[in-house]
Amino acid sequence: MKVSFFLFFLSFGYSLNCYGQLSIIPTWNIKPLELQRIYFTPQNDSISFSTLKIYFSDFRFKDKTSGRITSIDTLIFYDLSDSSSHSFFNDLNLSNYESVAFTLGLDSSKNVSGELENAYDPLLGMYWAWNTGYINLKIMGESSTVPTNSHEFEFHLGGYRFPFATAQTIQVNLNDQYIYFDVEKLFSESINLTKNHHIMLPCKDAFLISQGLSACFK
Amino acid sequence: MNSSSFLFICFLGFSILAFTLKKGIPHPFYQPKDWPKPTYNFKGNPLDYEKFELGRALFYDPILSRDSSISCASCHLQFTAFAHVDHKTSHGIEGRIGKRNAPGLANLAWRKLFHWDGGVLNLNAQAINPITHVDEMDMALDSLMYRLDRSPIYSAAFKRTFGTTDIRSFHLVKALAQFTVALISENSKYDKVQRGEDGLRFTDQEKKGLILFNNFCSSCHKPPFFASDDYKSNGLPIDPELLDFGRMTITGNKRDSLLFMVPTLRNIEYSFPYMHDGRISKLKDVIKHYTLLDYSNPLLSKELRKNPVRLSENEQKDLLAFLKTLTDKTFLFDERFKYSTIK
Ligand code: HEC
Ligand code: HEC
Repeated sequence: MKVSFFLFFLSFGYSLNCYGQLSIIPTWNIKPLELQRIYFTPQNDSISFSTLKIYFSDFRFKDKTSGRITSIDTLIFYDLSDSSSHSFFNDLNLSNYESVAFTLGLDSSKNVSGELENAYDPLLGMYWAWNTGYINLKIMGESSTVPTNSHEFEFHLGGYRFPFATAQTIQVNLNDQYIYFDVEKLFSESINLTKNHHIMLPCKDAFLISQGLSACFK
Repeated sequence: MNSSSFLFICFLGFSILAFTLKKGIPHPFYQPKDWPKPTYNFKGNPLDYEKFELGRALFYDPILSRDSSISCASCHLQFTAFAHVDHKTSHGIEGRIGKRNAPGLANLAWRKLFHWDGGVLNLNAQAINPITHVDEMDMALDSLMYRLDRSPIYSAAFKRTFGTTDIRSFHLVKALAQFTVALISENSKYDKVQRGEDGLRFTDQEKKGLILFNNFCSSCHKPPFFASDDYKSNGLPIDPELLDFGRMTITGNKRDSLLFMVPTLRNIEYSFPYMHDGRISKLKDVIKHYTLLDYSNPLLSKELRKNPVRLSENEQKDLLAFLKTLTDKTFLFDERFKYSTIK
């Protein structure tokens, strides 16, 4: 885990909040991703991000010694623009666990629960009213790769119905309290901005892109 | 009357009074006899009369729309069974015209799916649609919460009923649902005849109509709701301007193309115009629609394809007479559902 070791130091000042909380860190070129900052793709096209919001749920921590699983099935809402949403699970001693598996997004029962409280609040901009359900991952921004006048891209990845169920199970080893989300990898391997720059509803493309997500988490 | 029975009556009177004072006025929701269990999750939103009154006031208050011009009731009027009368498709703020006809609202607590395309799975969550829809109330949720928080009347009412000083969308939709679940219609002539109430009987014409209804219509419009949660085609061709593909919009499945909700026929006499886009304005023309269908159309749902509706002019009148027995005046004029504000 060389990369994460490096990142650990990089992000140290950025998320000093007490050790023990699980933190999600989106990255671009192995540095913490910042909104509105201009990055470059491997093809040297510019790219910047205005929104990154993600739902996580169904966490299962595996104990180092006993191998026992501790499950926490709350819905976690992550918003890059709101630092209070970056870390969670205060009372967990992460050093006890060797790995964690979780769902990126919401399973079908969470989608249809009709609960609109807390992380489920439609106010968070992750709710599809006309087609009951939630967006698992919302990522928006601009890139010179996008062949339109505005160069904007907008991905609302979600949907829980067969055959385009988009929630992903992800597993990472816990070397520290950080989970890294390699956004650059997502854009180089799963998203082709020349062809696809707007996804706003459950569909095949949302399904295909979502399948690439699990490889982006470390 | 001897003194002990007098005392007993006094005791009874006081207990009822004490009970009413303690429990307050009962919420108008009830479980009609012989009806299935409701699907609405009452545990998540326990019935409460004060919340009902709050929901009722909100239903009638244009505060929910961006320019404070329209309320839920602008499109859902009580005396037309909470449907949008006269307009084919609904009218929102600034006269914007929606794509669909506002359906009547009744017996919602028993529904699994909502909207003409079944895209909405939950009555609470349904209300987010009209509030935020650009062609309806076009109101951003955060501004609406701010507006309600700042309103002395509503901030006090939410504090009293939900114990909150921070009004969230879930408080709002639960209050609205307290009102909409209460909209029960089961006091039509049809219901009373079924229950043997008031010595009511069907006329000969209504009786003939009932038989025709059972032959041709009840496979989809199933009693006691005269609706169903299945999505079907009754043979309406697509409107080339609206291009509404119905259920397919939600499922993405071509087989669901042009399937629509089977709407309730309760109070159908009053909830004109008819169909998802309001294209038929008279009830007798709806019946005519079924008799003139192209029954070889493979897109037509099987209930109709296998059993073509053939009705003489007189039979059409009989069927119409039966449909009118589904009118529930108690519901249409129920004082508890009328316009009201928070006191
Ligand atoms: C601009 C008109 C308009 C307004 C305002 C409006 N509605 Fe509606 N309502 C509609 C239309 C149109 C539909 C059907 C939508 C569809 O099928 O896509 C509908 C559907 C519904 C349904 C589902 C009915 C069914 O049979 O599936 C409910 C419940 C409902 N509205 C409640 C409300 C509430 C509560 C409000 C206020 C917060 C409201 N409506 C405001 C037009 C309106
Ligand atoms: C295959 C199932 C099916 C059968 C059988 C059927 N209907 Fe329908 N009915 C529907 C559907 C679906 C709609 C809504 C269609 C739309 O809006 O696109 C509808 C709509 C209606 C409406 C309009 C309701 C409203 O609120 O707009 C009336 C009235 C009606 N049907 C009456 C009848 C009568 C009378 C019969 C028997 C002669 C009948 N239906 C048989 C499926 C059926």
